Amino acid sequence: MKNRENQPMPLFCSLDENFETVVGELGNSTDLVTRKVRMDILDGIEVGMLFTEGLVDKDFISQFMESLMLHAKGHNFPIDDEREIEPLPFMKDFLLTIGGVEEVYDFDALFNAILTGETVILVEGYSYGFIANTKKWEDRGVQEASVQTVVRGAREAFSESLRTNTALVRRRINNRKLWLETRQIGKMTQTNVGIMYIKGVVDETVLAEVHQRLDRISIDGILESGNIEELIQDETFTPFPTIYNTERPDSVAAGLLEGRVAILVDGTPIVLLVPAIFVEFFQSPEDYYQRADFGILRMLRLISFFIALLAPSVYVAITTFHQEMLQTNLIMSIAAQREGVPFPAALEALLMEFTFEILREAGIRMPRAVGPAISIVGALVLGEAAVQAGLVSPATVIVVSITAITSFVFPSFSMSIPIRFLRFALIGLAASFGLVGVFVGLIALCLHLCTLRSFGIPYMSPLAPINLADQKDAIFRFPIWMLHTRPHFLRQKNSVREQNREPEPGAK
Amino acid sequence: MNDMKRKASFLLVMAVLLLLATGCWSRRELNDLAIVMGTGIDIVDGEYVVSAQIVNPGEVASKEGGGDSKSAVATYSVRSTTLFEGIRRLTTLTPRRLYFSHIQVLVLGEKVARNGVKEVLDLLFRDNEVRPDFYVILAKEASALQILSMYEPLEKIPANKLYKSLETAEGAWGSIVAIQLDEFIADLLREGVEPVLAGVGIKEDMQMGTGGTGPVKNKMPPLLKYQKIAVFKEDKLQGWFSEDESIGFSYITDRMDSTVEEFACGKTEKIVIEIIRSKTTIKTVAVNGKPQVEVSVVAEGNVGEVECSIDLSNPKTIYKLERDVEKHISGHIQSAVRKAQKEFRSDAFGFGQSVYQSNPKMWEKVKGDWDEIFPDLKVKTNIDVKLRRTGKVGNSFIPFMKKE
Repeated sequence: MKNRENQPMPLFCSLDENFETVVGELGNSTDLVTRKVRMDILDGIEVGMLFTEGLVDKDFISQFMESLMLHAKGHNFPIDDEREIEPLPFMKDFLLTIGGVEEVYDFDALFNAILTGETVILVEGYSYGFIANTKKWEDRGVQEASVQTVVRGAREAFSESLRTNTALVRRRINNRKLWLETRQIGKMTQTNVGIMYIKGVVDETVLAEVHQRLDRISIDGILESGNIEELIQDETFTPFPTIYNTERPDSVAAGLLEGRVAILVDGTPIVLLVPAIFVEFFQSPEDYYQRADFGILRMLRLISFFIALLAPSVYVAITTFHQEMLQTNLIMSIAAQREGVPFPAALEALLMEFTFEILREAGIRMPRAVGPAISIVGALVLGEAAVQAGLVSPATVIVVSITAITSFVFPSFSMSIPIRFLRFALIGLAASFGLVGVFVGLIALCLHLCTLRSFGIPYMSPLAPINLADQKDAIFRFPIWMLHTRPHFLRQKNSVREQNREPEPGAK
Repeated sequence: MNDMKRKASFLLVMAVLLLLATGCWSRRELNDLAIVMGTGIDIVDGEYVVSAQIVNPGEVASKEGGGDSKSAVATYSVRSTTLFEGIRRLTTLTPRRLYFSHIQVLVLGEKVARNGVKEVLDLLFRDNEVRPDFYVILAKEASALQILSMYEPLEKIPANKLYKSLETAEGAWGSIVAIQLDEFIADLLREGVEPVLAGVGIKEDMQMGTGGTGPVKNKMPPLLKYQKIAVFKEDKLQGWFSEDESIGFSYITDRMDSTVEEFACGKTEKIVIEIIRSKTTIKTVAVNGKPQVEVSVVAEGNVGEVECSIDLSNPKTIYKLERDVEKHISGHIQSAVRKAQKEFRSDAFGFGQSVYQSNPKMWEKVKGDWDEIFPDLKVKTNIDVKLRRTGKVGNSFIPFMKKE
C-alpha cells in the first residue's frame, strides 16, 4: 500500500479504522483473525490483535489472550496509581511474554507481519503497534534424505522451512563466523532467501557476485530454489548444471567450510551451493565418511559417466561401421543376434533408449499405486517380449540396460540429466559418422565443458586449469590428514584447512 | 546486428543440413554382411580359383545345437582371371556383401606358391578392409578349396580349426610355423632372409576306436593335418622341409616353444624328452673375410617317457641323456641347414640378416653374392640342454615288471 508520494501508508490512530483497512485490503480473507479486548485496567482502552490463522502459534496466542483477560479485570497487578500509564510501552514491558517484539508504523510492514505469521497488536488511539513473533506452522519436520542417500553418514535432510534448514546448518558449524543474510525475493511471494557463508573463509569475489546476481532478480514469485538457480546461473544454454544443489545439511556444511556460499530458499528442501565444479557432481558425502580407499569409487562413477554417455553410441558405431574392431567370435555372436532384426542398429538403439526414457519418466510421474504395473510392463513386455519377437537384438537390450544402470550411480541427480540428452546426440553422430562422429562429439563436449564457468570459477577446475594440490580431492580422495588446504580454485583468504601429520602411535 | 544473427543462424542450419544430407557413408549393418573366415586361392588352367568361406552366424552362435540344422559355413568359389575380379564375382553367388576383415586364414594352392605369390598378396595387403594379421598357409597335395571345405568334427568353422590348430601345433610340436601375412611380407622385403609358410594337407583313413582287430572299425572322415614347413625363395615355393628338418628350422629361428625329442635307449626301447623352453642366439663371425655362423641353443627339458632300464637317480645318466638330446637337436639343425643350402639354396633361417645385424660392413660386401655364399656357409651348432625334472617318478617301473 503506497500513498501518492510512494511512501508506505502510516497507520491510523483509530483501531476500527485500522481494522477496516486491513480487512478491506485482504478482501475479507477468512483466515485473518481480528480480535478486540477492552482493558479495564488501562482506563477501558481497546486493544486489538491481528493474525493469520494457521501461521501462528496457537498456544502462544491463547496464553497471551489469557494474560490480557486477567489484567483486563485488574486482578493481581501491581499498579502504581501515581504514575500515568502509557498503554503501549506498558504492554510491551509487562504483558508480551515473547522474545521478538518490534514496532510497526505503516501498513506495508503490518501486512508483511500478518502474512508471515506474526501477530500485530494495536491500541486504540495510537498510530503504531507491535509485532510479536508468533510464527509457527505445520511442516514435515526433519526427515531422512531420500535422494542423496548414504550408507555411512548423517540421515538428516533439509525440509521446507527456511528456519529449520538454517538451524540444521548451524548445528553443524558452531562458529560466530557463520553468517546468515536473509532477503525477500519475488514481488508477490516475498520468499525468504538466505545466504550463508563463513566469513573469513568464503571467497569474497564469489560472495559479491552472489549478492549482485540476487539483486538483479525481478520476478513475481520464487517457488523453489530451481527458480533462483535459473535466474543466477552463468550459462543457460548448456546441459550441465553450474550450480550444485543438495538436500543434505552435511554437504552444505562441507561446502561452506571449503569457502562456498549456500543459498537457502524458503519452501524447498533443496539448497544451492555455489560455485560448482564438474567433479563435484561425482562426489558423495560418503566419500569423506568412509576410509580413504572408498574414494576410489569416484573413479567408478567417472567410468560410469562415460559408459552412460557412450555405450549406445559406441555400440552403434562399431556394429555398423567398424566391424573389424571386434574380436571374431564376438562379432559372430552379435551378428547372430542381429539376424532377422528388421531395424538398423542405430534405430534399434534409439528406440530402446527412448523407451527407457519413457519408462523412467513414467516411473517418477505415475501415481504410487500403479507402480507395479509399470515395472511389469517395462521389464517383461519391453525387455523379454521385444527380444523374443525379434524386434530388437539382445545385445541392444544389454547395452541399454547397462546405460540405464550407470546413469543412476551419480550422487547428484542433476548430472544424469545432461547425459540423457547428450546420449541421443551421440547416437545420432555414431549412426551417421561412426566412431569419427562420436569422437568429434566428445571433443566438442570437452571444449564446451572448458568454456563453462560457475560464478567466475572454471567449471573443469581443478582438472583444467590443473592444480596439482587440488588433485588430492578431485578424482580420488586422499586420506583426510593429507588434505591440508581448501580447494585452490576458490580464492579464499584462509586456505589452510588443517595441519595434521600421518597418524601414528603416541610417543613413549 | 539482427540481420547478422539471422545470416549466421541460416549458415548454421545449412551446415547441419549439409552434414545430414551426406547420409551414412560406408555404413553397413551387421546382418547385411557375409563374414568371410577363410579365403583360398588356387590356380587351375591358368585362371585363379577364388574361394571364400562364409559363416552363418545364426548357426555358429545357436545354443540349441542339432547336427541336422543348416551348416555353420558355406564355401563359395569362382574362377576368374584376376583376383579382385574373382572376389567381386563371388558376390554373384552370395546373398550378402562379402566382408573380409575377419579372415582367419588364407590358404594358397601349391601351384600359386610355385608361380609366385606376390600378385596375390598385393591385393590382400592393399585392401583397406583386410587386416594383414591372418595366417597364410599352403595347401600340400590338395587344392585350397578342398582344404577350406573340409569337415571338422570339433569346430563348426573349418577356417577356425585351421587357425587354432596352427597355433596349438606351433606351441606344442614345433614342426610348424604360424606366419601372418604381414610377417610374410616383411620377410619378403628384409634382406638376408627368405619367407617360409606352414603346409597343411589332408590325412585320410585315420581310425577311431580300438582300431586293428576290434569288431567296430570307425572310419573317420578325412582330417586336416599340419605337416611341414614350405621354404620360399623370394615369392616362389622352393620345397618342403621334412618334419625333423622343420623342427630344426624352428630351433634355428628361435620359434621353438615346446616339443618332444625321442631316441633309442637300448635295442627297441625308447626314451622321450620333453623340451619345455628353448632360446636360440645366432652369432656370425668373419673367418678369413668370410662369414661363419654359430647357432647356440640353450634348452631346458623334462624326462617325459622312459621304456628302458636306466638309472635316472644317478646324475651321470642325466648328463648322458643331456648330451644325447644335444646331439639330437644338433642333427635336426644340421639337416635343415643342409637341405636349405643344397636343395633350396634359400636362406630361410635369416643368416644373412644376422650377418647384417652383427656386421653391417661385411654384409655390404657379401650381400650381392649371398645366393652363392649361402650354400657354402659354414654353420656351427652349440647346444646346451639341461634336464630339470623326471616327472612324478624316478626310474621307470617297466624293468621291474614280473617276468613271464
